[in-house]
Amino acid sequence: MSGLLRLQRDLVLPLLRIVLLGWLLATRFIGASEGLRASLRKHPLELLHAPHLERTLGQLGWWPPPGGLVAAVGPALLICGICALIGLATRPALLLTGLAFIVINAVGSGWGFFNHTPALPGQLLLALALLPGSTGFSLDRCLLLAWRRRRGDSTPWLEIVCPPVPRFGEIFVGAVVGAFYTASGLAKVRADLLPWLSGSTLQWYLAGGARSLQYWYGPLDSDTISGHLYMGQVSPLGKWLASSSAMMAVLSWVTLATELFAPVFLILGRWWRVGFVVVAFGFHVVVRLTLGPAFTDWIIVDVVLVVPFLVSVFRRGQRSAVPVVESDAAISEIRARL
Amino acid sequence: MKPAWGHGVWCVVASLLLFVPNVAAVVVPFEAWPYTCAPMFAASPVDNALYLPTFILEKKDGSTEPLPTLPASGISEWLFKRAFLIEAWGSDDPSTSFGHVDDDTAAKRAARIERFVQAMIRHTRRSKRPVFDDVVALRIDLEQTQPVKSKRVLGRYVVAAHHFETRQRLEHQHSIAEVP
Repeated sequence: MSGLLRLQRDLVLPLLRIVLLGWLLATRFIGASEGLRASLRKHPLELLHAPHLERTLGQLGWWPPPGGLVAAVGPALLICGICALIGLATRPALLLTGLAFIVINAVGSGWGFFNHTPALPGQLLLALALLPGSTGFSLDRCLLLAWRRRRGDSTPWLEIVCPPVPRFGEIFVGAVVGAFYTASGLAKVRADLLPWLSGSTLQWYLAGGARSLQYWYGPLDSDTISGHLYMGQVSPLGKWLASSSAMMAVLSWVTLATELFAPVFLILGRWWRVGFVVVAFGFHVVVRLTLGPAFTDWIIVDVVLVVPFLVSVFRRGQRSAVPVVESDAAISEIRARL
Repeated sequence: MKPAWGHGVWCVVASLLLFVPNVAAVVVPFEAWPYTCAPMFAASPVDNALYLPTFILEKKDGSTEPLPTLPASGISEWLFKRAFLIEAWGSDDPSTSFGHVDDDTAAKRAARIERFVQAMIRHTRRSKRPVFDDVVALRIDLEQTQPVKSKRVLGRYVVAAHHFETRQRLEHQHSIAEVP
């Protein structure tokens, strides 16, 4: 426990805030808010009568919003997201952005399509709003530095702009990312363990078995239904891979191992984390080329988790990702003696 | 240098808000955006069958037609089929996250379907789409597409009575044409 609260100056959370919000604003958020406004103007009830949304928001009594509010939703979300990115009123901006992102994406989920790709960044926005360390290199802290300097405070700039925080934040983000992968691995174990181990489930998807999102599956010749399918696209590479049962078994085992043990790799140590990210990157590329889903948001998060460490290794030629806090303390002590 | 107490409090809040529900979603399992048990590509119907549900409108003049989809009705076909399975019909597999209901009964299922179809009819009327104006009933057919083709009727929602009646087998329903 004391390890979790040990102080360190970590760049993972500030970098995650900046990169993730930059990516989401450019791809999903602007798109989503534009889409939200366009949909509300053209076919308002399409959004409003998603079963989940009607049930949950209808109970709150504030949906649908009045027309003027609708027109303001897109720009307000955009400004909020930019504030979170540059770090102006960082935590409130992160919280509002995260909540809005989650509500917008919940519409699709209400219709029975749980989009797994934005679920991870949605959770991480909320995590960043709460965890210590995410306000590093924010405009808030730069303004604080300027104010302190005007008052004659000579504290080193880095102590104010990116102060040491408990390690918990960095480890927590790794654990949340790992939980998503483990969930996916356990779902395979739970639903179809033996066919997964033999490679036949993966083979079925890669060979184009799930060719339409409209299908349900269940036992033969029965009124009972088990679930609906996630569509896998049929690609030449996927078909080629599916032609080899041995290849399917190997890929299935690698997939299961990567997913099930993700949190262990992500928490164990920084080199373990790098190893996991390399494997996960390859895994996502193969999934994209064979089954279709890109999971770009997940790849970006994975890479951000290891970039500060790799940069520090590259720059200093040593394995310590962060300036050790003890050395800061030693410097302060020497200063005090002088 | 010691960590501030405030840090610890927010760490606990973040754990309660994110980590605990994530673990619960995996263990139960369930999906409630943004918490997920990530069931994508987990199951395959290797030994089972694939089914294609279709929703048929039975008109007052005796004719039938498939439920119109976007843009005529404002309903996306594949999303509607997924939402119907999760929200109304329910999965019979207790280990799935696709809307399984514990201790489910035919009456509970019929009540769910009635609520669901009523919401859909309200939606089309509010959006001024005359989809259900001359409709007597909404029939739900289930076509088995593999390994053997067959077709049966899951049930029929009677619009005027707001009532869903379950029907068993296609062979007992003379009004439905045989699948070639």
